[in-house]
Parts: sequence; structure tokens; C-alpha cells
Amino acid sequence: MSRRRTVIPVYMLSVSVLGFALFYLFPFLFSLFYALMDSPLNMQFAGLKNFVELLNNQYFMRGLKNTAVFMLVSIPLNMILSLAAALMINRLKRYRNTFSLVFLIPLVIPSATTAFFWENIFSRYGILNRFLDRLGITGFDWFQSRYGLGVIIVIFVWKNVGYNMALFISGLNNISSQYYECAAVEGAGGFWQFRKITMTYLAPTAFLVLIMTIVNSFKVFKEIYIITGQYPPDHLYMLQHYMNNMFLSLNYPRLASAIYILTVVIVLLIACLFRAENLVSENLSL
Amino acid sequence: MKNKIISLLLVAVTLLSGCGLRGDDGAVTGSMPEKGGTDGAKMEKGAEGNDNVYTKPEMKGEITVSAWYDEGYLSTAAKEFMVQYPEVTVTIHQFYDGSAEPSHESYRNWLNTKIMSGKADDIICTTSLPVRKYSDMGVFEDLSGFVSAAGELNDENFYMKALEACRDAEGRMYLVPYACSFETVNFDRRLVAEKMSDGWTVPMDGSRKSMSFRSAMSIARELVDATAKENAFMTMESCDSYMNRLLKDEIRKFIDMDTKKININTKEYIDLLNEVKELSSNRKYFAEDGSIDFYNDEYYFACRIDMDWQSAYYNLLPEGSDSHGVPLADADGNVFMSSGTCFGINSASPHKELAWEFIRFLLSDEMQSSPALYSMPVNRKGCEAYVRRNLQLYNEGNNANVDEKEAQRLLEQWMEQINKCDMFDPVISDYLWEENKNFFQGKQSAEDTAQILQTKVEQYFNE
Repeated sequence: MSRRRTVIPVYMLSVSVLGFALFYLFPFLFSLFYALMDSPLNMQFAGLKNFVELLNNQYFMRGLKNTAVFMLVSIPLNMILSLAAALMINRLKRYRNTFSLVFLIPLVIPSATTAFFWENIFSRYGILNRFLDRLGITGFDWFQSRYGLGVIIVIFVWKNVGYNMALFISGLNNISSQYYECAAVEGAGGFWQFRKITMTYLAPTAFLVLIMTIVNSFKVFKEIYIITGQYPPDHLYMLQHYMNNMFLSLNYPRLASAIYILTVVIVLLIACLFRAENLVSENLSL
Repeated sequence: MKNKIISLLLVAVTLLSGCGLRGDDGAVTGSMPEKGGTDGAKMEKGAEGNDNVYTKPEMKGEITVSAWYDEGYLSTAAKEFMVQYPEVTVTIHQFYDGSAEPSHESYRNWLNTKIMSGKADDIICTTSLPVRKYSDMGVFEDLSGFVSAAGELNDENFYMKALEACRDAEGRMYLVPYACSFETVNFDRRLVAEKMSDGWTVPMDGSRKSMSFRSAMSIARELVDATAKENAFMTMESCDSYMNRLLKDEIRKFIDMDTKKININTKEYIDLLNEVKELSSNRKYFAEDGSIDFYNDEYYFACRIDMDWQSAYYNLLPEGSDSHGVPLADADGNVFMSSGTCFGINSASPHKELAWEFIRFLLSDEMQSSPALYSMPVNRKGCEAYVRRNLQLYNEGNNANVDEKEAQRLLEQWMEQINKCDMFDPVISDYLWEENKNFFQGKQSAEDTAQILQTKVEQYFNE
């Protein structure tokens, strides 16, 4: 009976695992072959030369830097704002669903529409500049300026806060109200309850939200590409631009090398996060 | 267990680092293979010590050709070739089938996919391809050995300056043209006659030497200033196109393809944009878009850019609109032919010799004289046949009698001036066109345009 219980899930999962292996894992492993060659046409073994050149390439490093800066700013900002929204909506007694829907609408808008909408606000002749003109302030092309990354962060937060808010609401609803009642009886204030109860029991959800936000932060490339094209201004040049351009210019060794470096960084990051999550979960179970 | 895995990884990394980083002896540094052009051909030292004695391969097998669009020349040549060599199959793969025109970018992506998957055709037509980039990547075979070994490729049979225009600074030749289309500048006969009646002479001698676009526009401006006629304008080019042509005159000042130096975000480029914008808004020199009724109005364009044959004919036609036509050059006097009628051989092709035989056939007297060739042939006999054929057509249409020898002489005078193949990267051309257009449409300032282009082109070159 126990064996049957194991076999059925294995069979059902095998389709998904096979698909993942066929379309993600094997191509990923095969691409290592390209990363070790000098050129897909010459096919001469080059060892780690591509990786070394990549780390000395100013555009790769620029993409890496811009991506890192974007993630360091947008991910915490997104999580804080979505948690705040979730806490506020959770307190509402009426129109809770309506407000949730309002936050979730940006998520279902296609990227092209999102890009078009924000471009109309922040472009040189956009709504914001026309408003500033009326105040006597000369406008400029926000995407081309040094505030471009800030605009992209705004777009990212606007689009993704609803999703994280929904996850946080689910997490908040799983915290038993008895904890809060006991704390209130003991004389604990709102901030103490938030810090010691909400944040503690929301940790697993926060971890999930963090992972999802990291994943979604890479998708912002779509909007940037639609607004600024294949070669954006320097401060909007992300790692995906580099990889996309390497693909289009047939430079598969560089592309594969970039993918492997990025994968190593992400795997290390996720491994650290999982370790931290395990420690927190252990404390919770104690 | 964990320690064992870490140790294994460290050993692997050390081995890979050691293998990949040898630099000085050059054995495994991913350098390009030797581009001596003799990889595929059966080249042998000749009896008298000539380096390139070509041995014709066995005429058997299949070769494939990829092209943006085949107007009929390739398929006609393929049929004739297969009749001559029944054991050879030639297959043409054209991307554009004549219906809704796809973008050139999608054509490049289609070709790139074939190249990277190892399924590229043996012969590749270079229409709208970034030829220099492909050559640097090793996509094309160096054909200089084949060309120098082919005895029939000489000045007696061909316009060799045009044929050799595809050679790079190091003497390598990745492309061979089968036709050499080029542009000319022409002046309105009536405006010229009007100004000459005041004692003015056109500032060019009888040698029909080429002229840059800027020089031509300077003469055009003089003609417009001198005429009393209404509806007389400098040119019918739009301001985008005008800007493009001025850029081509002095492109090396802004984009140096050899050194990859970009100087677009400069006062000079910004001034150029503003100069063109100001000029194109001057209704004395430029007509407003859509303001001319071409069917009912009489109009004069002081300078017209036209293609080779048509320009020659209307220059010679007594009542024709054009006069004093000369090849269009850049500021350094270089006359460019189009790279869209050139072929390269795929460096990974297993049938290079056979592919070369087909290219030789495309350059033969027989094929170059074929009515299926719509562009200016690079073969002398082919050019004569082309002139004869088109002269008959044009003379019938204009009820005229332009002399064949005169037409031939004029074209020869022009064609002997071709010395370069236009291998400017079409991807960069598209960027320049797009951003300049945004400026002329008022969507961005000249400074923004220059900055955006500087960033784009730098990234394109240096990524």
C-alpha cells in the first residue's frame, strides 16, 4: 500500500519532470558545450576563455550592475508595499474583494499595453512633462535620463504589488487569531504584535514572496525592451539585454557563458535563502 | 561526500582554465582559421611557380543558394547549369516570395538560424546582410584564391575594378558581385540650360568624374536660386533621405567601421541634423510633402539621384530631363556599388568548389548576357547585351533613337569609376534612419538623437 502510494505520484510527476528535463535541463547542459567553444562556426575548444572575457566585458558588467541595483531596490520596496497593502486590506470589513481586485488588475495587463501606458506618461511629450510645462518646469525624456531606472522601478512595483499582496493576505489569514488575543491579554501593543507574531508567522510566506519577486524582477526586461528597444540607454541596460543581443548576433559562446554565470549566482542566492528559511522554520517549530 | 564533490569541481575548473588560457602560442585561443582562401579549392603550385592553379572539381552533387528574393536570374542560371551538368542539383531558397514583404530583420534572423544550426546554404546572397560582421565571424569563405586562379576574371572580360571592389584592406575577398548597380547624380536639363544662358558653366569637366552628394546639392541650390520658374526645388528627396545621403558622404567622420570609433554625439552631427531640418523647411528649396500635383503641375527638381542605366539613357535622350549625370561618390571620391547583388560561399559548406563553379557560371558571358539579369552586369559582354536590350525597350517607349555606342561609352566611363562595395552595416543604417526620422518628425531633439545613436551604435559594436 505504501509502495503504491509512492508509485502513483511518481508516475504523475514524471510527465512534468520529463518536460522540464527535455526543454530546460538538457538544453541547459548542452549549452555548456557552446560556452567552452571559441565560436559556433569554428568549434575550437577554448576552455574558460569565454568566461574570463565575459567578466572583463564592460557591457556584461554594466548589465550585471544595473540588474543588481534594480533588484536591491525594487524587491524590498515591492515586498514592503505589498505587505502594507495586505495589512490594510485585511483590516477592512467591507469592500475587501474590490480593493484586492484593484491591486490585481495591473498583473493581468499585457506587457505591451503596460509599456505603452507608461511611455505615454514619461516620454518627452508625455503627460508628466506636459504637466510640468504648465508649472513652468522644462520636461525631458525620463527614460533617457538618469531617472530612467527609477521609472522602471515604479513600473515594476505597480505591476507586481498586487500579486505579492495576495500571497501576504493568504499568509496573514493562516495566522491564528488566538495568538493576537493572548498577546492583547498580556498587554502587548500593536507594534509588538506585528513584530513578534505577524512577522514571525509570516516568515514562510515572506520567503515565498521573496522568491517570486526575484523571479518577476527578471521579467521587467520585457517592458524595458518594448520602450527602449534592443540597445537601451546605459542605465537601463540589463543582463537580459546583453544575452538577447548575443543571441541575435550569433555569439552563442558568450550567451552560454553569461547564462552559466547568472545561473551560478541565482543558485547560490536561492541556496542561501533556503538555508535562512530552514533556520527560521526550525525556530518556529520549537 | 560534499568534500569529494567540491574537490572534483575544483579539479575540473583548474583543467578547463589551463586548457583555455594559453595565449602566446595561439594554439587554442579561438582565433579565426587561416583566411588564405584556399581551404576548399584544389589549389596547386603551377609549373611556372604560380601559386594558384585551379583544378575543376568533379561536377556532381547538390548545391544550395539562399537569397532574399530571386527576380529570375538565379533560377534561370540554376536551370542552365543543371542542363550543362546533369549530375549537379542547384536549389534556390528565397525568403521573400513576392507577396507581403517581410522585414529584412526577419530575413537576417532566418539566415542566422540556418548558419548556427549548421544548415546554411552553400552560397549566400548578401542582400541586407551585415557583411563585415559575418566575414569577421567566419561565415564566409575567403574567395581571393579562387578569383585569382580563375583565368577568365580579367580586365578584358570584366569591369575588374567593380569585381575587386569587394576586396578588404588585407586583400581578402569574401564576396563576388554578379552585378554592379550604382547611383548617379543628374541635373535638370531645363534649369541647367537656363543658367548656362547667363554664361554659367556646370562645374565639371567632360570626363564625367563622380561627385559627392553635398557638391551636387550645392550646384542644385545655385540652379534653384538662378531660375525664375515656379515649382523649382533642389531635390525630391525627403529630409530623412537627404540626411542619410549627407551622412553617407562623410560617414567615416561619425562611424569608423574599421576602428569601431563612434563620434555621433558631437556638435558636428547635431549641426548637420539642424542644417538639414532648416533647409528642408525652406519652401524655396524643398517642396512641402504632398504639395505637388505630379499630374497637373509643372515641376523641376534641380538634382535627381537615379540608377545607372536609366540615368545614362535620360542623359543621352535629346529631350530627356537629365543632363551632366555623373556617378554618386562620397566626400573622398569613392563610388560605391550595391552589395545586394553579391554572393559569398559559406565557410562550412562541404561543396565549396562546386559552389564556386556555379558562381563562375553566374559570371559567364552566357549568363551575364541573359535577359533574366535586371541589374548592370559586371561582365563586359553582358553589359553590351544589357545596353542593347534596354535601349531597344526605352527607345520604343520614348519614340527616340539614342545611339548604342554612345550609351555604352557613357556607362563605361561611369563604371570604370566604381571602386568600392557598399558594405555599411544595414543594422546601423536602420538605427540612423529611425532616430533621424524621429528628430525630423519632432519626436526628439537633435541632442537626444545624437546621444541615443551614440549609445546604440557603441553597444552594437562593442558588446
